[in-house]
Parts: sequence; structure tokens; C-alpha cells
Amino acid sequence: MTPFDGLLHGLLVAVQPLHLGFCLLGVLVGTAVGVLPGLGPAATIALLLPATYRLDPVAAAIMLSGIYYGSQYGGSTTAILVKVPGESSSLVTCYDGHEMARRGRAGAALAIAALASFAAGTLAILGLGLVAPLVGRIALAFGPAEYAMLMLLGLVLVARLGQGPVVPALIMVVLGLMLATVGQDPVSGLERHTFGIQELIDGIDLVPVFLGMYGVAEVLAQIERREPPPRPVPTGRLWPSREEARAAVPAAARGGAIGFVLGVLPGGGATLASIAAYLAEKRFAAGRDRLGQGAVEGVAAPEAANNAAATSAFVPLLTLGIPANGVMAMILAALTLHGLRPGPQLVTQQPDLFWGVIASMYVGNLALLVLNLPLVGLFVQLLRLPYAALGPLILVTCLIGAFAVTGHAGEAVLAVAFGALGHGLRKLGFEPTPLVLALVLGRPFEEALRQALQLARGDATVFLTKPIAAVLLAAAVLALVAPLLLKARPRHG
Amino acid sequence: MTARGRAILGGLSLIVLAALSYWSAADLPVGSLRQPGPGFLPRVLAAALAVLAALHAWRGQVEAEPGETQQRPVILVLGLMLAWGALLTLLGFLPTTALLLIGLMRLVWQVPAARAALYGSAAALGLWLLFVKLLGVSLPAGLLA
Repeated sequence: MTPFDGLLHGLLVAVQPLHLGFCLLGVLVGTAVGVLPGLGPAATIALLLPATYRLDPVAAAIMLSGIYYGSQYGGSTTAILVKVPGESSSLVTCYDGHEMARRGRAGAALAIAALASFAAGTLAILGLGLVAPLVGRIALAFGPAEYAMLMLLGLVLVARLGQGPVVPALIMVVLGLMLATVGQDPVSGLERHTFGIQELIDGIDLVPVFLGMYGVAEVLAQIERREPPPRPVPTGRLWPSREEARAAVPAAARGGAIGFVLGVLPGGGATLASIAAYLAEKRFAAGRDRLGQGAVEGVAAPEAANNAAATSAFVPLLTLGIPANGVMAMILAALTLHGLRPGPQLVTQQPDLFWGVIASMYVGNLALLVLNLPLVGLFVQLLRLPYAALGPLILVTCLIGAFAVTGHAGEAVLAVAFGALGHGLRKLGFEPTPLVLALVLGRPFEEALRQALQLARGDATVFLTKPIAAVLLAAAVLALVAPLLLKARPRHG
Repeated sequence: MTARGRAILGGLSLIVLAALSYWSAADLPVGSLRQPGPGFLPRVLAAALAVLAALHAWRGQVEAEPGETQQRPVILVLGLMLAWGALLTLLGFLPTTALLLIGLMRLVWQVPAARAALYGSAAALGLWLLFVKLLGVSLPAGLLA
């Protein structure tokens, strides 16, 4: 199937009433959680995982993806009108977006954010449709040695490109891998780190970890801070002027390109993409001197970047089975619960899922553009929702979601424990995402590592003699040490 | 606590964790390169954690989040949630959840008692309709069985 046939096939899948309904539901929920600070797409998807158990897997994947890219639209609304980023990926939009709003150009800023998101999002979908099958074809040649090194590279990149310094992030990767070893060893059948607890023999379920780390921990952070409710600026006229539009187009193009590339990398994702796009504008934009004082480029570039990144993050997930961020890890978990294993065979074996999800993003982006601008007033009303109502509901839903995995109260206790752990770790300067990704990749990583060594009859140089594995290993080492070497070099001038 | 103090505290606790996890995996066979055993990766990971944690304690800086923070409500929330887990099968979903919601609203968010009771019960009923009736999740009926 050529990418064109594929997209056409996907479009037919995406417009089936059931799928269309879940796509719309996904983007609406996504926009709402995007608007609300303190409730992110990762927590929302974790909360909705139990609801997808009985759903058709294509519909589930369509809805969960909709929540992710929908939240990128919603995040900019709060950034512009309240100067509070609804999502971390809209952080830099606050500077110029809110400055525009203060000067009575809130409507224009919202329209530019939505249009830039739409343009970058839809072009990124085309890119995804073209790139993903190619990557999938290359990955068909991967054996255990290549997969082990690919996952190693992914884990290093997560630590390197994520927020904050690298040592704490690497610690979280190692902790995640350790948690993944809990349970029965698949080869020997021996128990590891179970401390005689029956429930741990099958390993630690991912869902309670997600719910604890992203749901419970987020509410705990909100309670601890007790911030006053934000006040939005009035929206005003929606359409950007001709000059504003002229400045926005090249900025959105630059931002979209940067976002697409960074979104593919594990640990990159929407937040890093938006910051990189903003920094690029500071260097290359025609109006770079006005950046930070309400420049259109400062809205168009990061919003285009975060949407393109939210789309291209599906490339490694759908073709290699490797999630690039916490949200992708949860979509991977949802697909695994339905017995689907994303990887190079997905394009040929599950064309409905692969192309259906990609095409549904077209539909979803269009719906977001049409819905977002007229409904912006309605979404802003969500900010009036008292946290005294939202907080308890999030906590209870986390408990129900964890309990529903196996029907044991122990899973709910696990979610509470991971909530406390996530909260404590964050206070000590550790971000949860590297741990979650390592936990998801831990088992396949160990299996690939052990298989590769067995196949090579104990020859550990197999990772250096197979060309693709060697390149991946070199990239991982380089990603780890290159910044240290650059820092060590004495500066001139 | 200072930024250095937080890093040292975090690093030292992780070194203890690394030692515990090494000890927990001590009985597992390491195997050979030709046939790596179940104890191989846990040992490598415990060692890696110890090294990284030492590095963190030695050089790390952890800035505190700005603003005042309060611990009591956090502990209260965790306790109430654990109580839900303990009482769920005994009392059943509806009463346990209503109690948790009322407790959270009243004790953590200081919603007036009558309002907390009303909203908490209504929300528990709503969640039961959503999860049990609409989504078909099976939750213990307990007292109401």
C-alpha cells in the first residue's frame, strides 16, 4: 500500500460513525484538559484507560491520540488569556501570547495559535504517513541486538533531552528498569524482588504506576501549593491583521519543521520542541527584537512546533514500538491491553489501526480548528471550576482505574504508593517521565539483551560487529558524553 | 533545607535502595555471557544506581519549589485513599467512595460539611452510574449486595 492509498484507506476507517464519535470526544476532552492547569494529557489518558478496556482498539487509539494533540490546542488558550500554561508545552507561548492579549489582541493571538497548530499538525500527519512506513521497513531487518541498542539509545535520549539535569534523569531510568525486573523472570521462572508478595509475581502493572505518578502526584502538588484561581483576559476580535498573518506564516513553518524532528526523538516531545522553536525565532525571525513584547512569531512558532511534535511522536511508537514520551507509553499500554504489539509489522498487519489513527488526526485537527475558535469562551469557563470539585474526582477516578485492572484492592494501594513516591521524587528534583518510559521498555530491553547474547553464543562484541547495532550504540554513548566534552573544552572570546 | 542538602538526602536514600536491591537479588544466578541469568541485570542496575546516586549526592543541586508548601493535607489525602483501598471490599463501592469524597472535600479542601455530604454522595452515585452501569466495570457491592 502506498502512503497515499494508506491515508485514503485510513480516512474511510476514521469517518466510520463510531470512530468519528470517539475522535471528536477525544479532541474535546483533550482541549478541556489542555485548558485546565494541573490536569495534563498523561493523567487524563491514564484515567481513561479503564474505559477503553471494552472498546474496539482502533476507536480507543483514535480517542487517546485525540486527547494528546487536542491538549496542545487547549494549552495555548490558557497561556494566552491567563499567562498560565495549561500544558508545559505552551510555556513559551505565555510570553508573547499574553503580551498580545494585554494589548487587546487576544483574539488574534488565539486565532494565530489555532491556525499555526492546524497547519503544522496537518503537515506533520503527511510527514508521519510518509516517514513511518519507511522506518517500519528498515526496522524489519532489526534483530534482538539492534532492538536492545535502539532501546538503550531511547533511554539515554529520554534522560538527555528531558527537563532538568542529566544525572537525576538517569537515576530515574535505572529505577524504572529496576521496577521492570520485579516479578517472575520469563526465562528461568525464578522470582525477582517480589519479597514473597503474591501479587507481584506477574510484575508491576503499568496502569497503577501511570495513575499514581501522573494523576495522584499531580493533585498532591496542587494541594501543597494552593494557588489562587487564575483570571482570564477578555478575548476581543478574532482575526489577525494582514501584517500579523504575514509574520506568522514563516514562523509557523520553522516551528513546525523543528517540532516534527524533535517529536520523533524519545524525551524530545512537545515541550522541548516549543522551547527550541522559540529560541530559533530569537535568532532568525524578522521581528526578533520584539520577541517577548507581544510578537506574533512568539505565538506561531512554539504552537506549530508543539503540535507537529505531538504528531511525529507517533513515528517511533507505531513503527518500532518505542514510546517517545509518557503519553505514548500509555497509548502503547492501551494497545498492549488489546493484544496489539506496535512494531514494524503494524503497517502491514493492522492497516486499519495504523492508517485509521493517522487519518483520524486529520479529522481531529479540522474539528479542533472549527470548534476551538467559536468555543474558546466556553473552554475558558472551565477555569472557574473549583479545584475542590476537580481534585477529589481525579483522586477517586485514579483509585477506580487502578482497581479495575485486576479487581484487587492491592492495585489501588499501588497507585497511592506510586502517587506518594512520584510526589516525593519530584520534590527531590526527579521527574517521573524517564522512570515511566524505562518501566515500559524494561522487559523488552532485557529480553532483547539476553537473546542477542545467546544468539551470539556469549560474544558481547555482537553489539559492535553488527553495523546497525554499532551505530545505535555509538549514538547512545555520544548522546551521553558529548555535552560533557563540549563543556570541558575551554571557551574563547 | 538547602539545595545541596536535598541532593545529599536524595542521593543517600538511593544508595540505601541500591544496596537493598543488590541484597534482594543476591540469591539469583548471574549466569554467563552465553546464557545470562535472572540475576544479571538486577546486579548491573543496582551498581549503576549506586554510582549515579553517589554522583548526585556529591555534585547535585536541588532547588526548592517557590512559595509556601503544606504537608498535612498531602498526608491526609494519602491516608484517606489507603482507607478506601482497605474498606472497598468490606463496605462496597458506593458507601466507601461517598465517604472518601466527603472526607476529601471536608478535611482537605474545607468545603462546609452539609455541602460536602451532598456533593460527595451525588458524585459517588454519578461515578457508580458511569463506571458500573455505562462502562461495565465490576466494582464490589459490599453492604448493598
